[in-house]
Amino acid sequence: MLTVSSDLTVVQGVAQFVSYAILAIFAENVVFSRAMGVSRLIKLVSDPEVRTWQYCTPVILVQLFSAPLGWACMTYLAPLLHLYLPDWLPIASLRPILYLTCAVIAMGVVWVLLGILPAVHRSACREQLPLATCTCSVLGTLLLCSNQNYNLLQCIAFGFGSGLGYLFAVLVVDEGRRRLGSKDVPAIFRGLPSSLIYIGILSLAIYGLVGHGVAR
Amino acid sequence: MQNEQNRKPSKPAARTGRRKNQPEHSQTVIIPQLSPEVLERARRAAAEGKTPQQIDEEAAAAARQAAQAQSAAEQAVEPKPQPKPQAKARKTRAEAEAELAQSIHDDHLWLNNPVMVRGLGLAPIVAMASDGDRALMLCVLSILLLTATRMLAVAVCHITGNRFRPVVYAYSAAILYIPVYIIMYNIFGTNLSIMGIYLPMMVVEPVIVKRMEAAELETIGEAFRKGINNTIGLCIAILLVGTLRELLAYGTVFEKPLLSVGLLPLAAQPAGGFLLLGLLAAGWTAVGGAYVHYKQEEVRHLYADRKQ
Repeated sequence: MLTVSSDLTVVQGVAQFVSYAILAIFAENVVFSRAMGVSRLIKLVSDPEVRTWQYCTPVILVQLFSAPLGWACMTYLAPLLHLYLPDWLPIASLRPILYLTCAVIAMGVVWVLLGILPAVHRSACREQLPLATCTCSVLGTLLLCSNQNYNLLQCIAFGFGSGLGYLFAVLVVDEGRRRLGSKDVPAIFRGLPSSLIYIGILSLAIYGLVGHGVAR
Repeated sequence: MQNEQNRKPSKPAARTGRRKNQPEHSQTVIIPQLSPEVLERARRAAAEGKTPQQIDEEAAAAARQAAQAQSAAEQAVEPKPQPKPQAKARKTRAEAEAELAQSIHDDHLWLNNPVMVRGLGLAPIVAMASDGDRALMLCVLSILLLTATRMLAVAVCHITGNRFRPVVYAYSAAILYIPVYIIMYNIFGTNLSIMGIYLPMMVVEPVIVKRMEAAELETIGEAFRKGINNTIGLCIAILLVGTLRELLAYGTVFEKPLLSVGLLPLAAQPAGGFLLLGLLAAGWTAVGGAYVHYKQEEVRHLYADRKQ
């Protein structure tokens, strides 16, 4: 039987999860606030062969499963390695390879999980899975959680929210790009320049909403 | 077989087929290549009262001399090098256009700049290259990491049969990041910490590992050449954006004051970085597009008569 205190703990945990996820989706959006994964996003929205869900489903799942691995790496492995590393080899130089390994392990888990999808969707998502893993939004989120010293729940919520935030950014930019294909747009602004200016205006709106720059 | 039977008796017939009652004077002397000069010489000899046989002999001798002189002249002309046909030396219009397209594709400095034209490396430039010092750090990192990663990844892909390409590229960059970080730490010291997550994040930045998306495997020499070109193009873009943002946001360039006040403080933020980069990319595209248009028109005019 649940007590009042345990109920409060569960509610607090859920609230914390939701608040961190929303923070990651909007206020600290990976694309609009930190420009992470924007190169791949621009390529994705202009590529007619790759659908949004084919790329974003693996991104969300990899972010979700790599977050606890990243937390474990930050909490247990990094301090342990720090004890045994020679003086000339700083632990900061090993951060990319450690967190990349977390992402690659998560990629393996996601590859197995995608097996539950129908064959057509499964192969399409698995095709994009390596590219979705080795991207700035995944590694950047892991590094950010490490820098911010988030706990396990916060890491998972922030990772999941970052994945959803990336999907949100792709949908918004995709719609904007479709409208920017108008002939009224001058020729020199078509393509990359108009996309960058459009993302810049959205980024400015979020900056105005938050009121300050985010941690990097 | 029928032809051979027909031919065999033809030779004796040619020799013996002459009729016995045919008059002797009807024999014709074959004078090779009688030119008007030779005939004129023979006519003069006849006028001098020589016999017909002498005349014929002299005419034949003169004709032989003329023939020898002509053949000698031809031999003297033959050793001269014949000019090659122009069609082989000149390219067709399609070839010239393909060559121009290839040269534009290979020009990673201006016409196919990785940042301004292809939109790679945007994350560190927009979020981090907000002043000259940070731009310089990113440049050093790019110089040390980009070409080496590309070469190492290509070498490993040759061993693995080009499988697991994205993971190979990302791990190659992550392994090379270890010595690169140590070198950079010795150069910049604790200032390196201002780069935050963007320094380690460069190991998966598309400008470093873009090649992982391509299915065909390049050679190590090609990887070196293209890596150097990309590095130069990337550094130009980073330094340009970094110094311009610093000038607009703070009125300084590499911390040296040029303006009394920052004209656009927003330039230091990611939103300002996006906007400024978009405007720069538009200007870059306009200049590059005008140059490409000029070159295409030039090829079109030069090879107007050589469509095939």
